Amino acid sequence: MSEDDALAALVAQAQAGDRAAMEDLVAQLRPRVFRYVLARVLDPHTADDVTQEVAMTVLSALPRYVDQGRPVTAWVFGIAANKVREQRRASSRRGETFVDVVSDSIGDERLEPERASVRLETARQMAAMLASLPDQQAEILRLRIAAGLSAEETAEVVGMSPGAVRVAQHRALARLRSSLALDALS
Amino acid sequence: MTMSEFDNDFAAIAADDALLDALGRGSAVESDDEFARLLTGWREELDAAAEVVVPAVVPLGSGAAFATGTPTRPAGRRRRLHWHTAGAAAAAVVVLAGSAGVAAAATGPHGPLGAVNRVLFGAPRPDDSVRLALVRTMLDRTQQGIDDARARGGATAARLADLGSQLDAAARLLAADPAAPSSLTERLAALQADLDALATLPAPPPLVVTGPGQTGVGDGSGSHSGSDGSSHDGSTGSGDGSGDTSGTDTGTSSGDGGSGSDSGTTSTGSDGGSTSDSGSTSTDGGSTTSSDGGSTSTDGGSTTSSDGGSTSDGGSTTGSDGGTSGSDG
Repeated sequence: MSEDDALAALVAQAQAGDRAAMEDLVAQLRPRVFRYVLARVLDPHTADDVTQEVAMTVLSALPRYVDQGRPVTAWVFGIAANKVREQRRASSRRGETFVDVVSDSIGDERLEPERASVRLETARQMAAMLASLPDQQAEILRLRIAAGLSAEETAEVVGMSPGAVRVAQHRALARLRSSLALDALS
Repeated sequence: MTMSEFDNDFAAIAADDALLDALGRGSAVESDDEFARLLTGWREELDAAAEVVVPAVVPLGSGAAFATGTPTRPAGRRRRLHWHTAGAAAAAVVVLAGSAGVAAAATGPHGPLGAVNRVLFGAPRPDDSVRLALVRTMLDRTQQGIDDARARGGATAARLADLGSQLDAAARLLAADPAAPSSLTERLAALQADLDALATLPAPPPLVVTGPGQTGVGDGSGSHSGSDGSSHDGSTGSGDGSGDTSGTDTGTSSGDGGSGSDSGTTSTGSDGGSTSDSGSTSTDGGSTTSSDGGSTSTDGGSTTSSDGGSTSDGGSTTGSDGGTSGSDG
């Protein structure tokens, strides 16, 4: 049974009212969603909150979810992308600065003590690099690496064919490689 | 392009695909390629954060767990993130499910999950559905908000709007559950009365009326939409997910008069949503709903179609995704 088949089975059980399946589903999706969200918001606390929102939405939408052959992850990460957007709109209305590219001024000191051990230097660097890419390419890399989706699953989320995703991700990586090389030169 | 160039490209595409597969699995990529190491480091950092940021497991014990569960974070912080309260409140339940679930993943399917079951679904209340657990959480939260506001001698319009929409959401969830105990309904009514009384107190900060004809919604930030009043959908505003469900589940439900009007607003669409956010308003759902636009709009439409709605959740996202992220930044 593939990973997505397993998730689909869990979804079906959860829909049938199996509470353990519901919890299992959340437990399995949670770290993946968290990584994806964190890669975008760069703040563990916010990422945690958004992840909970996603989990909540997934659970409450379960009764209406219909398996149409699309991977479960495509559905879940579609919701996750929306939640990140909502979060940003909300924080920008409030004048907060959660954006993909975060300056060094938003540092780990904002975290609570128990979370201060979370280091996001590379995540910040990556966010800055991803910002130089077309949005869709950046999203593909986040889904592939941070969320750990396959090319096929990613294709469903971004609405492309798997082949197009493979080409796009290749272009994205090529672009990042060359910009990294340029940085090294300068 | 010559044949060998084509082959090279093909090989490079396949190599990158394999690299991304490995990274996605969380496998450390052994490479002397600096770039591959950077990507590995990125993923490792995200993994490490995911391990650290596992929400505290709340002491177990039926309903009380929800009350003790909320203040695990400083109030200011929580307030900052209250973008939609009902959703956030509902999420508190998932914190419990999620955190213990993650813990359980390490130890196997048994043990902690049983404990979560007791918390979430409450052994003393075997009839509790997830929905009722959510309602309880929302009511607890509202109660807490009202208490806070009283202690401060008033609340901002935005805060009142949040509380109102949270109550609306709870009301819709309750209405959709025929098995809802009357104690919850009564508590809801009492809180509504408290909230109404609170609204008559002078509000400390400025009140900005965002839309014509819309009353007390206010809230400079334009945010939480649904706010004000009652009947309509604060609930939708609150959470795509939860609000919707209530509608669909029972096949529909009382609250849906409200959602009917929703669909109107929602149609502004996926990311148009963003405009409707600031702009207009108060009618709800506009803002929040927009995101899951797919689901809500169908919700208002009719129950039958709602299924498609849910799936289209993801759908709507994808479509708009690329586009929006641009505007987001």
